[in-house]
Amino acid sequence: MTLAESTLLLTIQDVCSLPNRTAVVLTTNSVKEIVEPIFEFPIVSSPSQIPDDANIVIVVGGGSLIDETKILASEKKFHIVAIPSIWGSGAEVSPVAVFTDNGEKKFQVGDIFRPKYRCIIPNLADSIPTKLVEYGCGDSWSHVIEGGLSPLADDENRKNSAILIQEMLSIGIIKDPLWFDLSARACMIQSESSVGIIHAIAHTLEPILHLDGLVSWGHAKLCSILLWPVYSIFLENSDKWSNFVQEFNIEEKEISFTLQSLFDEEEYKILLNYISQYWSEIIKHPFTRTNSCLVRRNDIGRFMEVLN
Amino acid sequence: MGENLDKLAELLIDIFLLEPEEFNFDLTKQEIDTWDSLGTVAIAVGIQEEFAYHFTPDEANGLGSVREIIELLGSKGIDFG
Repeated sequence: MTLAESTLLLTIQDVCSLPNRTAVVLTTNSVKEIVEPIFEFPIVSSPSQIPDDANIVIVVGGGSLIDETKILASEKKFHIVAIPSIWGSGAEVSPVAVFTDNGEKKFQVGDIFRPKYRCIIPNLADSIPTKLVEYGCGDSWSHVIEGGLSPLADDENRKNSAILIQEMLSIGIIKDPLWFDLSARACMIQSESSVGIIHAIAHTLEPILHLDGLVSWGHAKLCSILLWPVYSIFLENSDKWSNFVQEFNIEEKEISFTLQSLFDEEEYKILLNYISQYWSEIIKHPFTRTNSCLVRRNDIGRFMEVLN
Repeated sequence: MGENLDKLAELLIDIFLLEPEEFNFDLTKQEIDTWDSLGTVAIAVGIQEEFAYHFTPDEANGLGSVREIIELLGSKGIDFG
C-alpha cells in the first residue's frame, strides 16, 4: 500500500472547506497562535472537550496527542485530519496508536488507527525548538533505517527506503518543513515492515527513565541518541548495510556523518547504564527479534565498545 | 560435536532465548515457546549471518524441529559431521 492510498494528503484549503457544522480543531496551546488564524472551526484544547456530534476532528499536535485522538476516534467513530506540529513520530500516517497504561508503554495496531487524512502546515516548523528538530529527524532516520533493512522488508520497502535516505541526506538535519513529509514516508516504510533494536530499547527504557525522573528522555530523543551506536555496531558486524548502500548507490560516509552528528556521548553514557541493566528485557522485545541483524546475548559488549 | 553443530546450538540458544541446559538437538517447534512467527524470522536472519544460507520463506515456515534445520542446511552443502 502506498502512502497516498492509505492516508490522503489534503491541502490547507481542502481542510478549510470542510463543512464547519461537523468539524472541530483540537490543538495545544503551544501552537494555537499559528493554528487559530487558519481555520474558522471551533477550537478545543483536549480530547475530552470534543463535542459528541463532531464528525471530523482536525488534530494539530505531536505524536502523543494524535495517538490519543486516534484511540478516541476508533471509539466515537469520527474522522481525523491529522496535522503534525513536529516531525518524527509519523503518527499522522501510522496504523499504531501508542498509549501509556500504568506507566507502561503499550500500543494498539490496526487500520482503524490510521488517519484517513493528513495535512501539513509548513509554518508549524517555526514553533519547533532546535533540539526537538534534531530528535525528530533522528526518529525519522531510525524509521527509515530499521524499516528498510528489516528482515520483513520487501523489495518495494527497500527501494522506497533508499530513495528516502537520499532525500533525507540532501536536506540534512535542519528545520525545514519538508521534514513533515519525509517523516510521514519514513513511518510508512516501517509500518509496512517492522522496526528493530533502536525501538526495542526506546520502548523498554522510556517509562523506566521517566519513573527515575529523567523526563526529557522522550521516544525521539532515545532514537536519535541510539542511531549512531546501533548503526556503527551493525555496520561493523554485518554486511547487510554495505550491500544495501552499494545496491542503491548511496554514499555510506554521508549517512555515518549525519547519524554521528545526532550522537551525544554524555547522554549515551547515561543510557548505557540502563541498557546494561535492562538488557535481558531488551533482547526479548518483539522489535529486537525483527532487527535487521540478529541481536545476541553477548552483543551488550558492543554497546559498551562504542565509547572506546 | 562438529564445529557447525556447536555454532548452530549457540545460535539457536540466542534466537530462542533459551538457557544452554534447555537446548538439545531433538527439540521440536512445539517444545520451544519462542519459536513463533518472530522466531522464524530470527532463524532466517541468524542462519544467513552464521551459515551464509538464505532460507526461502517457504523453507523457514516449513521447519518443525532442530533436526529439520540441520537436514535442510545439510542438503545445501553445509557439513554437520
